[in-house]
Amino acid sequence: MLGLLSEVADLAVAAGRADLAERIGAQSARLAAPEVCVVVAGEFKAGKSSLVNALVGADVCPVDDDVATSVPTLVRYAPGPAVHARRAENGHDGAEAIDRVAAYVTEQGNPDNREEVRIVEVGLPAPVLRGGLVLVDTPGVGGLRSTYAAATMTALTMAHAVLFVSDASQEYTRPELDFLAAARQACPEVVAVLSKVDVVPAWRRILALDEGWLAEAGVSGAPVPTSSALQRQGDLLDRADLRTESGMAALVARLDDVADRYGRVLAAGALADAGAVLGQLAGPLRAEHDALADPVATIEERARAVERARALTSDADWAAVLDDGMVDAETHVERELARRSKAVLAEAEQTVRTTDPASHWDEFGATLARRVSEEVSAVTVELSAMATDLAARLADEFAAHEAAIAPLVIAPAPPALDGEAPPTLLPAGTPWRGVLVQAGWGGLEALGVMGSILTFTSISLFNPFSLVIGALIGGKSLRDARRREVERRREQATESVAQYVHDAVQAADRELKSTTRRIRRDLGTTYQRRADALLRSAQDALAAAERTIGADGADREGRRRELADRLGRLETLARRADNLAAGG
Amino acid sequence: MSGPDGFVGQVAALVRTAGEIYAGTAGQARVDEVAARLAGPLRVAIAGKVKAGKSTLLNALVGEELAPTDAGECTRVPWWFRDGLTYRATLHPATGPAQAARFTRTDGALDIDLGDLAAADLDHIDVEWPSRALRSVTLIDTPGIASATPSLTEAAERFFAPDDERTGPADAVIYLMRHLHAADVGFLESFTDDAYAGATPVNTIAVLSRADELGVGRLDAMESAGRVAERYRQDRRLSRLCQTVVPVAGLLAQAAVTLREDELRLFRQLADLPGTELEELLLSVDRFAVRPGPAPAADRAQLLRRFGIFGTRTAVAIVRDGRGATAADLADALLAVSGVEELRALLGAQFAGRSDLLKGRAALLALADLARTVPVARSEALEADVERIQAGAHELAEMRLLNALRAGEVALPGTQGDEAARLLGAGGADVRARLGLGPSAEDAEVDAALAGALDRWQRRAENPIAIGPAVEAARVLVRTCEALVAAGRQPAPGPVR
Repeated sequence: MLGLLSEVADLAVAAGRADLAERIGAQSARLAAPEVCVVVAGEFKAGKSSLVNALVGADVCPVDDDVATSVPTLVRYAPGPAVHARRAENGHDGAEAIDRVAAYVTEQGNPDNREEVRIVEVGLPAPVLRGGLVLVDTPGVGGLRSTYAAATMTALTMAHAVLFVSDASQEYTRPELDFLAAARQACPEVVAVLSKVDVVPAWRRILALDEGWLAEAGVSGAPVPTSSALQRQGDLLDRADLRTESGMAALVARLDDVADRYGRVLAAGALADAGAVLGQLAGPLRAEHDALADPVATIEERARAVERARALTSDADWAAVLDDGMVDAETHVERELARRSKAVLAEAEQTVRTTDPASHWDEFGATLARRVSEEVSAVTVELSAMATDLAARLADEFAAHEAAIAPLVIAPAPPALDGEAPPTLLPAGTPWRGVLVQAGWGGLEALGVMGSILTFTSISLFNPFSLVIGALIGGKSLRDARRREVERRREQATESVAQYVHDAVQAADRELKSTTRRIRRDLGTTYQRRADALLRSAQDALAAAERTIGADGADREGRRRELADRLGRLETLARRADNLAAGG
Repeated sequence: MSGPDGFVGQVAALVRTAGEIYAGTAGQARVDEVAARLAGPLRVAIAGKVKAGKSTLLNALVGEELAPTDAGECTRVPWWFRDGLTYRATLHPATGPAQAARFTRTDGALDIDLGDLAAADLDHIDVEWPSRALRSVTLIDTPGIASATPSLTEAAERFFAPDDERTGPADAVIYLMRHLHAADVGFLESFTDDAYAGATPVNTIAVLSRADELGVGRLDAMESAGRVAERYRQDRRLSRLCQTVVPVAGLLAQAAVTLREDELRLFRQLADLPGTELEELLLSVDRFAVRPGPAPAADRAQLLRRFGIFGTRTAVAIVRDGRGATAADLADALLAVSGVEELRALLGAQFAGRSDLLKGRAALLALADLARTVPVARSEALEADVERIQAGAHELAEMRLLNALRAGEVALPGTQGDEAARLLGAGGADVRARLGLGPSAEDAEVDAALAGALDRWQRRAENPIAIGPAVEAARVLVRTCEALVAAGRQPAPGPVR
């Protein structure tokens, strides 16, 4: 596959088309080092960090009876262990020792995230990660202190799969099933894991009950039963029997399956791109070949193609579609933020009216911050979906233009007679929103939008609610429980709440708008380049057709044979690509 | 504090008056209910999220494997367990008359024949069970909150916040949680909601249940759970919602109180195994139930079902230490590990010691509700009487102050807050506990400490530069000290047994 791509790239370079070679090069790079992002999510204390440790065979994520993860931790392959803390201000700190993780990702080591860390990245020479698996350990949902739980949902839009972890001590609860439903909106690929089966005698009962709940939620199959403790023990004592009993192999197989399918999606995209590039490289050859037989008709036809391509480069329809789509997205974000913040505000005011703010303050603040980030994260997930749909439309449209202006060297395989689609690399219904394959467009993640969406988490760093409030309510002074005083406090609290929600929503709006602008810019640049390349291909073809006029008559037959031969070679390459795409 | 002029006497008199006012009216049944409740034992509800181990803990407290337990969700309606002369189960449908139900016992657990009724039709199931443990307290097992089956959560909410605006049926609550989950706080909050004025931190104890699972069944799991509970005790979000937090391994406690000789024999056989063989066996539940070892695998699986992996590991360790010579010895040692003894002591100090106060308070709230919702000729006067007692009773003032201290609504300088809470009975209603003295303190020591406390709070109450709430708090505490002096050294009420 990579060999084929590099042949196509070499041809493009030889034809003086560095722009087309670059398009293939980008695909090769992704294909050579694919990163499969798997987010480990679930209720707090479900054993997520232990599971990550068991998978990578090292105590990377802190595990303790009384410690919970509060900052996401990303673990990927690296030749030597290293830790990087990514902070809010996009600053990059230097590498740190591996035992520094706890100082960042636990509530005890980093209370209220005073380090302002957005995500901790750990590099590890673990064999399971070598194939490009990236594991993200997340703060549990449902915990009181996990202000970042909402970030989990946002991270899921970038994930290729979510490991939904629940321990064997009881069947799924309502909050867990609610989370599962929401998570599937952001990432349809769910692998359910039943943890701690080494300590729960009735785990098979729970497994069966959970399977029933999963089926009801539309997820087929039973959870994968695992014991992180047995796996780690097996590692430490170097005992294969314990590692077998841990059930971790079945989980790794499921992850391999996800990686395999993701690899197929990437390959299908790369091959579609190779086909499109070959079509553009063949354009001038075919034009000259045809013009030698019928110059007038060929030149006319090629001139029309140039016009069509030119129309794509300035004031193009696709640009209008992109603009309109992005304006829609911005409006939607604004409207949704307003609507949702209004609901949060109403809830909060109701709470303030029925309680004494002085006695509920700490927790009230935490709840409010959590509610706001939940709503912002929901809007972010929607934005991501809208941007993806829009990008998919553009990709479709462009594929149509490319096929018209620079037709594929060979026609796509006709559908089988019995009406069933021929086997292809892609199973029906690509499961990944962010990864589209039409004409090789790599989805949001190929554009690096992942980073801009993750910036959302800085919302929870914004203006800690407790500070706003502390100043108003007055720290540790004597508190008076008389009715009049309570009323006064309620008024102040209502004001502070409104101010906080307003500020937070403004900040979220700013963040999301800048994300939207970035997506628009990135999509715009990508397709502008592609339109320019297409115009050049069309112009080259026209020029090649025009060159035939006045060419030496004696050479014409020889030239035709030579061109047919070169076209034949491109055709062979295209057929190889097609065969690969068909799963051959 | 007692007697006809005391709080309880006043409430009892008011209930009699209400009986006269409502005689022959629609409200009469409700007055009878209030009177019966005031005369009966304290009603303690066991609440919590689904699968928090409510039924298991109830069994441990009763000392019999009575309430059905299961790996899946189990309790679908509230079950009342009360002392009685005979063994009897009664179904109380949401509408319609109560009816007697037949029951059988499977492995000890009650299996009640609902007849034509579905669980959803029932308001509660009433079980009369002659038992010493139930003599001073009626225990109520409730359906869990946050159940994946919505109707079960609704059943729990109906129980604690009945929509017909009457006071809830429980005088006090043991709240079980596995970790502090957002749903727990939400539930405790709704329980202590101002609208439902029945519950306060004073009558709620939180239990870190299935505490052994927090430490994933390791031998030191309970110590670890103790540290988690300690952190929760310090957490203001929780301290304003309940008295305290204690860790309990409910399954172990339930198995320990019902420990059988054959189980002891099996533990002995296990303890006699060579060290490595035993370790291999106890590595995981599957190994323990399946690998070849002493006794048939089915017996071992049954042992695991009863004790859990933590209980099994702990019991074997105790027998190996030579502390399990008899079933009684082993049961005592296991109970000590389970934490249920601490919970019992706490129930005695916090609930039984305040039983009359908690019941009286609930009765006042019920009467106020009645006066508001069923107006008759003299109901306004009744309501005024309720308010008069509520405002005048020193015991209620104490309880309000304690709640305000817990909630942070009243803050006292330095260590005065802790001293005040203790004096108000936060650590137990007994005079020695209130003064921060050990249970064996001499009478003279108690007298001296009491005099000192009275003097200190008198000075604070008269402090010219102190402001409003602090002075009011000091005045309440002066009266508390005076009442303690007047009461002399009455014997402390015993723990719940």
